[in-house]
Amino acid sequence: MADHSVFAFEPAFLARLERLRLLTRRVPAGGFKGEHRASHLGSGLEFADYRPYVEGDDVRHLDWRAYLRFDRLLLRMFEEHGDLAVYILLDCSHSMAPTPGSSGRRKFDAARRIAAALTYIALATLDRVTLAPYSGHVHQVLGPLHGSRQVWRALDYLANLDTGGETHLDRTVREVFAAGRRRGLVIVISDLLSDTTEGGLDLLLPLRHDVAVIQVTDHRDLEAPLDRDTTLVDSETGDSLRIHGAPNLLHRLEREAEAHREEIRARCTARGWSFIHAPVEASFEELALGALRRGLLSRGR
Amino acid sequence: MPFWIPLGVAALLVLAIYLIRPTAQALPVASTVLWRRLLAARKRRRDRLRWLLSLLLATAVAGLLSVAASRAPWLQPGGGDPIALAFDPSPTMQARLPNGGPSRIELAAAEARRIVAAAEAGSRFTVNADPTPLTSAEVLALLSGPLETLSNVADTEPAIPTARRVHVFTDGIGPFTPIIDPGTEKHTVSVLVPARNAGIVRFATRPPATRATGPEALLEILATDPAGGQVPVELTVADSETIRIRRQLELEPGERFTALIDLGSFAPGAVTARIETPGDVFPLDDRAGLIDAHAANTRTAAFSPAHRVRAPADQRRIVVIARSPGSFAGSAAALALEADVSVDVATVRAATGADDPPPEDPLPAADIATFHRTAPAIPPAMPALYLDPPQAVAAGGLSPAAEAPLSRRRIDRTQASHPLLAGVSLLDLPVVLAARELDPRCTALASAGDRTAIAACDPAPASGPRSLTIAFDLDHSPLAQRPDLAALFQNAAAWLTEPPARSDLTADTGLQNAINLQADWATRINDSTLDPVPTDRLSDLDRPNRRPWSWRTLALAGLLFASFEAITFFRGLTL
Repeated sequence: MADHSVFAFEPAFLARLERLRLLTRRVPAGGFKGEHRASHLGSGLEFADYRPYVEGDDVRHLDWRAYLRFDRLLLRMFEEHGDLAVYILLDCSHSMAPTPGSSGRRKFDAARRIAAALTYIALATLDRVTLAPYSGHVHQVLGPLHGSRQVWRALDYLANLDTGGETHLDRTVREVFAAGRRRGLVIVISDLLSDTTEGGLDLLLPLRHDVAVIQVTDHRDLEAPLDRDTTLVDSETGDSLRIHGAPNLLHRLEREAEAHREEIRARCTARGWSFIHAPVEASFEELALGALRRGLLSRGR
Repeated sequence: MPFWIPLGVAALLVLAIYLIRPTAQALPVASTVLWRRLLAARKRRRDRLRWLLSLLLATAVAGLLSVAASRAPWLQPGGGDPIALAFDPSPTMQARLPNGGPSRIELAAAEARRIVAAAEAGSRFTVNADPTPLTSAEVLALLSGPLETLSNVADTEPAIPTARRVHVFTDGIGPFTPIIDPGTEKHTVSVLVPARNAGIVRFATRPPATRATGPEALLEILATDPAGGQVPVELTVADSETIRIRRQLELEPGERFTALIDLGSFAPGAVTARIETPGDVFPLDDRAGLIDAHAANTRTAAFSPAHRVRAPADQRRIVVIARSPGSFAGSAAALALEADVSVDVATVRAATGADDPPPEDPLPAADIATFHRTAPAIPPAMPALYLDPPQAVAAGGLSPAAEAPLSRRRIDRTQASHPLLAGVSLLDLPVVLAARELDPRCTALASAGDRTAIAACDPAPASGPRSLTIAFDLDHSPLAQRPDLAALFQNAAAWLTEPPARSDLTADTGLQNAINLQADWATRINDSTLDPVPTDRLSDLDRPNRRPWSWRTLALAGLLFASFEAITFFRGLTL
């Protein structure tokens, strides 16, 4: 039995989640009917516009009243709605839970909650969700899931995930999108503490997906007793790094972390992608209804 | 205590410190990515700072080296009087040190360079009576160059400019008494190095005291040797025809050899006395000549300068004394002289012996005496040009050598910068030359191996006229068919009649003068009250004379160095 305690969503909170929808710039043609306005006009229910009739158009869409008034054959256009393909890449490397115990898994738990919430929102709006947890390679991919009845399956899957290994986002992107997938929204949830982050994001650019990068951080990663010479051991690679204590070293480390985050934010902004910083210290509601809404969500209904 | 005990203790101490050094604590962290970025940023900043410091340091070092090595004048304090350097110009300063060492004037220059190098920073210097203050670099350059500027002054009482102190370089022999401001600190630097020498101190005719038939000459030779041994001297006395007297002498140091020579049997003309001494360091007093004023037909030294100071546009008169005026008339030299419109040539026949008819009398006055295949026993008192002089006769700075066979050679060395060779190309010219000894006071303008082809003598003003000797036969040389010959003769006419720059200076140095017969000659190269130079001061005279780099050169080097540092800095390269 999966432990769903990490996803202790209140009913009221879930009701608020159901009023949200994922934002995307475009919904490509094809796929199933959904709630996202497609980038092209088609055979929906909402009237959008007229255009002159040309040979080959469906005569059922001719507006005969307009013909009587203007003596011109005009065709009625309707907005088309489709579903959105959502790919959630969840970082499950060792750095997400560097120490045993619940206090050491704060980043991973936060990342799973974010993934669960996004999955809930996507399935509630009839989007198709693919969950791809990764570390050194992609673990078993779940999905695509469609329909709100798949929520519990997704939560079970997320609850059973564990951490381990190194982070290789570049290898993950190659494996997930190697066979070609429908264009949609790719959401990367990670602490981004890897040298492969930039390379992995660069691989997403030619695939023409919408991308949202959610960086989960824990201030404990920037705390260390540095009153003497210390050998830092990387939880993922096991590499050691010897440093000499300095009075303002941790302060400079915080500035370096901020600079690293700003670099990735600038890279995403330049590409029209969303970047969200998700510190674990913030409450999940605050994160989901505040920060997430600014870059990734909107009130849909 | 043995050496290894403190060494071992130190090694144990270092080992103990290393062993008790606390080990670093191991701390697992989620990722070292941020830490590595932080350290890389620190390293970049540290490297940038290090390179900036390196650039500044290198530039500063290069600049300081430039200033220090060049002693740039704009950095030197100009206060204070200069330091005066006064050099004794007497001929004994030309005496060479024993065993072929440098001359005393060169030794004086070396001592002066030491003084300049050890002087306070920013010091200025004056040399002899020249009041122009020089920087240390300038005076070192002056002392490193040809020393004629120091020794070719006849003023034995130069007025030394006002100076902080005066260094007088002298061997203490010549009458050298520089005039120095009262109270000025004076240092006398002795360059006296005692050496063996024998010299003719008197050679003069006097009325016949005992005989009414002919004159006689008084010859005196003085020898000196600091080692105290006997000085072997070979004396030869010759008239214009042949050697009349040859005698081997063994003189004690300080012994004066006196001889009366009956000139009644000598050929008319000049009489020459010559001595040769092994290890002699002073050749100036080894020759002497006189003219028997009581004998007839002594014409060769009877010329008198017509115009010693003249305008360049004036026509020069050249009298040619030829062994055979007929052969000279068709020679290349005659053609070259005739081609020069600025000269007026008159040819006379040289006297060849007592039975030979004398040349025309009186001889025409002239500016230049040209001797064609002949030479007088005593140089004339006017500029002289010697063309292919006989091998056995000394002429124009060239003396007969012991082994002097003629040999065909090519000229391989010239002093192209000399005004006599302006516009004249002599290199690779095939000539037929005999071996001759070159007077050290003269200059070899063209040489073929170890043989001198053209020699020029430019004695100090008022101590004798100039002379030029072309020691090969022009008529058997390709030079006769080249325009270089006319250019050479034109240069020679101009150079030989060039007025002396300092004709007002006296030539009386207190020593013998072959032209102006002095009543009392002296050989005094060791006759000094000064202490000799310590032998240890002579040991490093052969040290190469380092000339300081100019501050511009060093500044350029510094700039290049700084540029290189800048390039490596901005390109991220390392030296």
